[in-house]
Amino acid sequence: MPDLTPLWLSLALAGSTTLVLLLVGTPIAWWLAGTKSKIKPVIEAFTALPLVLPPTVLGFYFLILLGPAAPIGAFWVSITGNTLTFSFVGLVMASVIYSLPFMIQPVQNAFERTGRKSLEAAATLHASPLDAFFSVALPAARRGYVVAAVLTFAHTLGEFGIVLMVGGNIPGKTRVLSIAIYEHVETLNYGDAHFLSAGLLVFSFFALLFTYTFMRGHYRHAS
Amino acid sequence: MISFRSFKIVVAINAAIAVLGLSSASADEALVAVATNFSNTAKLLKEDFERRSEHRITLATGSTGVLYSQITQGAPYDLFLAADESRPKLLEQSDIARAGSSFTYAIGRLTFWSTNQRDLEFDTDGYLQLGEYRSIAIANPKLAPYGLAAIEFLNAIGAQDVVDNQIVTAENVGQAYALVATKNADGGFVARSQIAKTEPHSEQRVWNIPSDMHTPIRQNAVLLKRAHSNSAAMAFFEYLKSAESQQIIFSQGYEVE
Repeated sequence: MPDLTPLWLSLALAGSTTLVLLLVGTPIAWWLAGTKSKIKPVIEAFTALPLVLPPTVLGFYFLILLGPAAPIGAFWVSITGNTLTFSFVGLVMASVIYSLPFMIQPVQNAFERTGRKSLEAAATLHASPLDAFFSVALPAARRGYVVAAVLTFAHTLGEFGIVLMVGGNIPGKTRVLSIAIYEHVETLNYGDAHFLSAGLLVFSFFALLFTYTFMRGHYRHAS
Repeated sequence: MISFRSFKIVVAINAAIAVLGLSSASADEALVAVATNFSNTAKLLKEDFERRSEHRITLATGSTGVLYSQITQGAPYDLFLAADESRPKLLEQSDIARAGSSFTYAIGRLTFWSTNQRDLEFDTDGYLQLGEYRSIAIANPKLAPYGLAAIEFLNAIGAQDVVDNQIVTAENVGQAYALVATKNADGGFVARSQIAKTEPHSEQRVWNIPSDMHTPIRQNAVLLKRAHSNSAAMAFFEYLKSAESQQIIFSQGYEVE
């Protein structure tokens, strides 16, 4: 039985990232779903970048952006005394960017399907835009949110390259599941590697199975 | 489709080339696995070797532990330039490398490198000074001999607190170097060869760790069995032992035997 600290750490990282992205992703997805702005494709392309960029590119830039020589990193050092790199908070920030499209795209699709009409109907009933958002748009998009949250969570669990570059492999702080598996394999500790890998495989499969089953139900429901 | 006549001509030309000692068939290629700390030096050796020979060398770098496990899983390397002597010996024992071929091509020197502006006053008080650092990068001691040497050194000076609280682990010395270079780590233990070429800089401090404060980093090379008929691999392996290559290795901050 291997040390399970990396597992709890990965779950905490994925959970924190999903929560942050629910808050950060919603206004972006909302804006993207409703806007007719010319820069919409630019923002869409930008938020989809983590899908196509290799983790080494993101990891390299995070190493520089989160480092104490850059404004964000320097600010963090001035308030906490420690660098953002090699810290759990730093990993959350990196994961938020890394998993951004997995949150934005399903939620944006859900908002787009709801359409403007139901919101206009709410407006004719004198609902404020904020009220209409919370009592009409948000409930209608709940399935999109479930899919987005599951995908974001699972994708963050699978994060490896960025953590390898900015994490520092610190037990209990930045040694997440994927890094622990990597180290087990490289030190020929195959038993522990199998244990953790099989667990992640099974979890990931059920996360995706849930997502696809759920989405199928959704489309049937929608049509 | 080549006719029999042109086939005969090709054979004749090849025979002529072989007789003249210019045969393209004798120019081989070898894939060499190189420990990260040695990669820059290996590039210089490759250039020098290829100037003297028609053989071609391709280098693949990684941490010694990673390369070792790749080799045990059948990775197609012909030579292994490790950063330690134990893994080449293990490969000999497990019959993956040619028995008795392992030899020390370089002895690594561990260096503490910092871009922190704080003055470094190392000696017996080194521990107190290190305690002021937020983070100190080392290569993963399970995978990289320079990381292991760094841990041995820290233990030797009684800096257990540093080991427990300030160490950040990089995948190999190359990454440890990058963490210091980008100022994410205040300092780090790297190979002297990595900073042999960096310009003296007012903001950086370099301290060569006395070599008696850790197990000597004897870097051994070994000939892998799959290379038995590869003349490029054989030639490069012999070249590594030559005075020319040893001079280059020495000039890059290593000690040689």
